[in-house]
Amino acid sequence: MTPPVKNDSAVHKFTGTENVKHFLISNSVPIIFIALSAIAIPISGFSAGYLIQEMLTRLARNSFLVLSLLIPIMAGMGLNFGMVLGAMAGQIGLIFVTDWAVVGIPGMVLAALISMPIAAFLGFICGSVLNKAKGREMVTSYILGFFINGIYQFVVLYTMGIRGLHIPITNPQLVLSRGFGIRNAINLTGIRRALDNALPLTHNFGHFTISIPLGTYVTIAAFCFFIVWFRRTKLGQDMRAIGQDMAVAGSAGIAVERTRVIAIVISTVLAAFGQIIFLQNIGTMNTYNSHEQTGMFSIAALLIGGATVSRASITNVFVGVTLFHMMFVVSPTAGKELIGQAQLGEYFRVFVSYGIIAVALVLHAWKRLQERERARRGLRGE
Amino acid sequence: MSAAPNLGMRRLLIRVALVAALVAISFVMYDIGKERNVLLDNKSASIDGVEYEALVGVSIIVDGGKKTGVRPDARIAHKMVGRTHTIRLEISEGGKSIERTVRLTMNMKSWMISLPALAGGARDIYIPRPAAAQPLPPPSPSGEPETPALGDDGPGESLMGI
Amino acid sequence: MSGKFEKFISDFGWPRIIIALFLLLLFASTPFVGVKLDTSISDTLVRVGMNGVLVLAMVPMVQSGCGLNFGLPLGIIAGLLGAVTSIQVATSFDALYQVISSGGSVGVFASALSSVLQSGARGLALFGIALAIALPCAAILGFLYAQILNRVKGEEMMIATYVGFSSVAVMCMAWLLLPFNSPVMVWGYGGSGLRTTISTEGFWRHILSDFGSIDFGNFYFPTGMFIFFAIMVCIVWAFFRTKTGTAMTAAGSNPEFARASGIDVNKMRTISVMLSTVLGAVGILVYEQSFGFIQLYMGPLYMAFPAVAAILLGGASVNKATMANVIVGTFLFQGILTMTPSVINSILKSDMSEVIRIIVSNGMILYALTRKTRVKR
Repeated sequence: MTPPVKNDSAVHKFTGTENVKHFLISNSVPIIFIALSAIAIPISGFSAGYLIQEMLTRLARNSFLVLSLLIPIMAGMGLNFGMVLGAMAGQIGLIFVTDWAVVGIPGMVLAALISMPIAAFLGFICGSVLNKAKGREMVTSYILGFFINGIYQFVVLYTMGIRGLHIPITNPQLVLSRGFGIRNAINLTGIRRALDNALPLTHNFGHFTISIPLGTYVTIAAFCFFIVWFRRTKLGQDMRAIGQDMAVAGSAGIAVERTRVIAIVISTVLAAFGQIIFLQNIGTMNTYNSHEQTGMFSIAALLIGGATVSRASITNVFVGVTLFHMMFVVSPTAGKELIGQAQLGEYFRVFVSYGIIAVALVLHAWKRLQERERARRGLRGE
Repeated sequence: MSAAPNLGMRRLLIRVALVAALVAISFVMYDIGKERNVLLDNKSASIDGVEYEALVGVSIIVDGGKKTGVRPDARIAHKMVGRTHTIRLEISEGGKSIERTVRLTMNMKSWMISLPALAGGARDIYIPRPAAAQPLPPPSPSGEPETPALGDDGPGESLMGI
Repeated sequence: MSGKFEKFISDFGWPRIIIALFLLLLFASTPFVGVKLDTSISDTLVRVGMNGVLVLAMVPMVQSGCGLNFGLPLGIIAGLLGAVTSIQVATSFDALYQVISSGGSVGVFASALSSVLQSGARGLALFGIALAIALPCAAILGFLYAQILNRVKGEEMMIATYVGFSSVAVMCMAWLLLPFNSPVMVWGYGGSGLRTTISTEGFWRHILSDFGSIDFGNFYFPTGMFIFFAIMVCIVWAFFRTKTGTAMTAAGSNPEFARASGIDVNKMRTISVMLSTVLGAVGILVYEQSFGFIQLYMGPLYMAFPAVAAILLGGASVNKATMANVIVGTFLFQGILTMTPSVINSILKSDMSEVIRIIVSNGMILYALTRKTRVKR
C-alpha cells in the first residue's frame, strides 16, 4: 500500500549547488542589475565619491515612498499603482503650507497633517474601487491613478486661487497670472531640506566630502520599525492571511473587504508622507508633474530590488532604490560615451524602467501559472 | 452584554481624542512654524502715554543674525519664524546695548514693533501698522536670498492619460 | 412593448444612455453657446473615422480572452515604421528620379514605377507601401507579443501595458539610430535621427479622407476614410463568422470547454493578438493620413487608452466585444471628447479640454473594470 504522494520539500534535502541555483533564480533581477551597473559605471566615468553621495541622497529621498508599497503587497493586492493618489494629497498639503509660509519641520509636519485626511479619503476610494475589481487590482489602480490625476488637476488648476469663490490661496507667487490655478513650478523655500538638515552629518574623506541627511534616515528607520511592528499586530496578521488566500481568510472570520481598504488607506497616507519627504529634498515642486512618475519609479525600484507582486521585504526596498537610481544616474552619460548621444542614454533609462516592470510582472504571472499547474498535476497524481 | 457598548464607546472616545490631538498639533505647528514678516519701526512713538524718542545710531541683531543699522524715522522688515525671538539693540553712541526676548503676541499683519519702545523697556511695544498702501521696505539681509516662485505657467504638455 | 423597451435599456446600460443623452444635449446647446453646429458635427465625424480602426483593433483580443489590448503601441509602432519607410522611399525615389531622368537612361521597371510615383496615384502608392511594410512587421511583433501573453494568463492587461511602454522606449532609441536620411524627416543642421513629428503633407495626407469627400462651407465629411473604416469593420465581422473566428470566440468565453472541443486555445490567442496588432498598424496609418502628422518617440505611449475607453463606452466588457460596440463607442467617445471641451470652453471662457479628456476617458475605463464579470479562473 503506497503512501499518498507527499510534498517533495518535506523529505528532500537541497544540495549546495541547488541552493546556489535557487538563490540565483529568485534574485535574478537584482543580479542582472548589479551586472549592468558594473559595466555602465566605469563607462560613464563618474567618480566613486560622486556616486556614493548621489546614492545616499537618493536613498533618503525615495525610500519612504517605496516602503509605502509594502503593505498592499502584504495584503495580496499587488503593486499599488494608486500610491500616486497619496502623492497628490501630499502636494496639496505642501501648496497650503507654502502659501501660509509655515517653514521648517513644523511646516513639514503641518503639510503631512493636512494631507492625511485627503490621502485617507482618496485611499478609501481606491480601496473600495479595488474591491469591485478583484483579480484586476493592478490595472484598476493604474487607471484610477490617471483618473484622480484628472480630478487633482481640475481642483488645483481651477478651484484654487486669489479671486472670489476659489479655495483661498493668498500668495500671488503661487498663482497663475490669470488669478486662479496654481503655477507649475513652486519653490518650496520654506521647507527645503528641512528634514534633511535636521540632523546634518558631513564627513570629509580626503578628496571628497559626504553629507548624510540623518534626519531623513532617522525617519526612514522609524518607518521600518513601524512596518516590522505592524506585521505582528492583529491587523497586520489579518492582511497577511488575506494575502495568502482570500477565501480561507474570509472563512476564518476576517473582514476581507474592510481590511483590504484599510491596507490601501494606510499605504496612501504613507505615500503622501513619502512625497512630502521627496519634495523637501528636491526643494521645488512641479505641481502637475512631480507625482506622475512617482508610482512608476517606486514600483520599478521595488521590483529591481527583487520583490515580486506577491512578496516584498524591506531589503528589497533599499537594494532596489540603490540599483534603480544607480542605473538612473549612470545611463545617460554611459549612453553618451558608448554611442555619442546622451538622449539615447535617457531613452535607455526609460526603457529599463518600463521593461523591468514588464519583466517582473511576466515572471510573477508565469510563476503563478507554473505553481497552479504543479498543484493541478499533484492532484491528478502524476 | 454590557461590555460591548462600553467597548464601542471607548473606541469612539479614543478616536475622537486622537483626531482632536492631531488638530491641536496642526495649530501648534502653524504657530511655531509660520514665517511672519515683522516690521521694526524706529520712529518716535507714544505708547500708554509715555513718549519714546527715535533711536540714533542703532543697529539691530535679531536672533543672532546679521547686524543691520536702522536710521531714525526708518523701518525695516524682518522675517521671523515662530513667536519667540531675541532682539538686540546696539547703540553706537555710548556703547549701550539692550537685549530683549520678544514674544509676538499680536497679529503682525496689522501691528509692528516700535524699536524706541523696546529700548525704553516698555511693556507694550506694539504700534499699529499703517495701511497697506505703503510698499514694504526692503527686507533686512537675513542670509536667505529672496527667490520668487519660478514663473512657469500652467501644466505644460506632459499631461497623463489621454 | 414596455418589456422590450426595458430590456433595451438594461442591455444598453444606464451609463451609456446617460452619456448619449449628454452628447445630444451638447450638440443641441451649440447655437446657444456660440459654437458652430456644422463644424462640431464635422469634427466629431472626422475623429470617429480617424480612431475607428484603432478601436476595432481591440476586438480580437477581447473576444479571445486576452483582455483589453493595452499593448496597442506595438501595432502602432509597426504602422509608424511603415509610414516612415514610405516617406523615405518617396524621398529616395525622388532623388533617384532626378539622377536617372537627367542621365537619360530609364529602364522599363523604373519608368513604370516613376509613372506611378509621379502621377496622382503617388499618394495611394505610398500609402500602399506603408501598409505593405507595416503589416508584416505587425504580424511578427504580434506573434512575439502573443508568446509572452500566452505564458501569463490572468495578468495580461497590466503586462500588455508595460510591454507596450517598453517597446515604445526601445523604438525611441531606434528612431535615433535607424539609417533614415530623408531631409523631411531628419533633424536639420546635421543632426542625426528622426524628428519627433513628421508631416505627411505632399505624401499621403488625407489620401483616404479626401476620396469622394463632401465639402461645403464648414462641413467636411471624409467619405473615403469612412468607406475604408466600413471595409475594415466588414472584414473583421466576416472573420468572426468563419470557423477560426468562432473558435476564437469560443476560446475566449470558455477556455476549458473550447479545449475539450479540440480547439487549440493558445493558437487562437496568438492569432487574435496578431490580428489586433495588424489592425493597430492599419489604424495608426488611417489616423495619420487624417491627422497629417506622424508622431514618433513618446507619441504612441498612451494611445491605447482612448481606444480602450471607446470600446468600453460602446458596451464591450473585458471579455466580449461586438462591431456595434466599436461603432457606437467610437462615436460616443469622440463626440464627448470633441463637444465637451468646446462647449464648456465657450461657457466658462477657459480651456478645460485636457482635464475633461483625462477624467472622462479614464472614468469610462474604470467603470468597465469594476463591473462584475463571470469568474473564469
